[in-house]
Amino acid sequence: MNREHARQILLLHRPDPGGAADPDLAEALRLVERDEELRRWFEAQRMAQDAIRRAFRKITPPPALQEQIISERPWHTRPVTLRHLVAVAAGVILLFGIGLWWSGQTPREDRSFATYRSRMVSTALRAYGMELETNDLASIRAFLKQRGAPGDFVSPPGLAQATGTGCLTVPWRGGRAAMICFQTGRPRPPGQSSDLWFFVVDRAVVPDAPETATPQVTTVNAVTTASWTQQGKTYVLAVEGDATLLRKFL
Amino acid sequence: MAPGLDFEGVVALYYEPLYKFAFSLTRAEDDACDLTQQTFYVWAAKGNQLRDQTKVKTWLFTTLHRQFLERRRRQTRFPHQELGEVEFELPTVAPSFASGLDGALVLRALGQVDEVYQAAVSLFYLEDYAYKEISEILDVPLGTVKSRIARGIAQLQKLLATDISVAGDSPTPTS
Repeated sequence: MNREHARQILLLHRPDPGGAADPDLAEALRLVERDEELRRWFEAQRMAQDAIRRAFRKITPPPALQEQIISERPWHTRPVTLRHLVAVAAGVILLFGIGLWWSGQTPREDRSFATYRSRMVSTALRAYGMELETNDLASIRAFLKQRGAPGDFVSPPGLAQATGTGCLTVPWRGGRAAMICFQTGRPRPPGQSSDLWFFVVDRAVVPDAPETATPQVTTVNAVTTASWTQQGKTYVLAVEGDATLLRKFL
Repeated sequence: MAPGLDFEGVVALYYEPLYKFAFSLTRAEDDACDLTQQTFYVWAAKGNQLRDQTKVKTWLFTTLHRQFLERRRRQTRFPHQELGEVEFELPTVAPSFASGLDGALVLRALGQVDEVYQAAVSLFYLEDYAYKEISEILDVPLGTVKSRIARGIAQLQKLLATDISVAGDSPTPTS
């Protein structure tokens, strides 16, 4: 091994565990001991290398880098931990609670029988349009059935004294109530064809309706009403007049 | 991610040496931070493919180097010179050479070394990696790694000696 070859080997020499076992290096190191010029070169090299190594190792990362790497990690690479699951569950519960509270704050649809009855009476007192004008009860039944309103109703016996004028359907909470119009035979204001009304609706859509077939008489907006439930249907008979008049038609 | 190694733990262990390597390659703090960060995100996404946990550090360094090369490729195509064509002059440094060095000077000089040598030289000085490990990280044969390091060191020392000399210090390179 000559001096130049030894320099090439020694240039790559580091105080690392792997280097000492290299036979070429061992030979170059032996040459260093014998060759004064090579020894001086090698000594200067080692000092230079150490200085450069120290300079490299002075590089330091910004203090926040570690935290930045962790905090900005893309979400899709984050493992699902128990802590995350708990957080998600807590969020769901919170949202559910808010939803429950909100639903409690929102006015609910009023399905009470009193509201139903009041709405039917109001319809009767307004200028309504008859959907079918006839005094034929069979035609009225068929028409109501076709329109999705109860046509298989049971009329009170007294109603046979009144004269039918027609019928219409009144929307009620997703369904339809039947409104059958009659004349009592008393004098009526001009333009008013009916003064007695018979309303029929499925019992299921008015949960707090009267439970028995015994009519309950109540006055609503100066209209006297009788209400009862029979065979799954709730009936309201309303008349512009007093209870005595009403009872004639029950 | 390899079993038993959580992301935070790997970051805590290796972010500092990775940053040093990145900084030695880019010589810009922002770029070095980006490279380091990107390396860990690649680890988070693909680290589970690594079966041998003892290779985590090497894997990270390899990934960082590839990221760096990828960015360089996008920016510019630096000319690749065959090692045999490059003049290889073994440096002789004056004994006072070491006292004139500081970190900024060394890194500036490294930036002037042929790019193909820079990563190998950085790993040589920074990490005391065995040549075999450096060859794995850079994905080049062992002999090539040794040649790159030797030539890189020679260039670096020559540049440093010139810089120190220009700055008014006494050491001058001789060959």
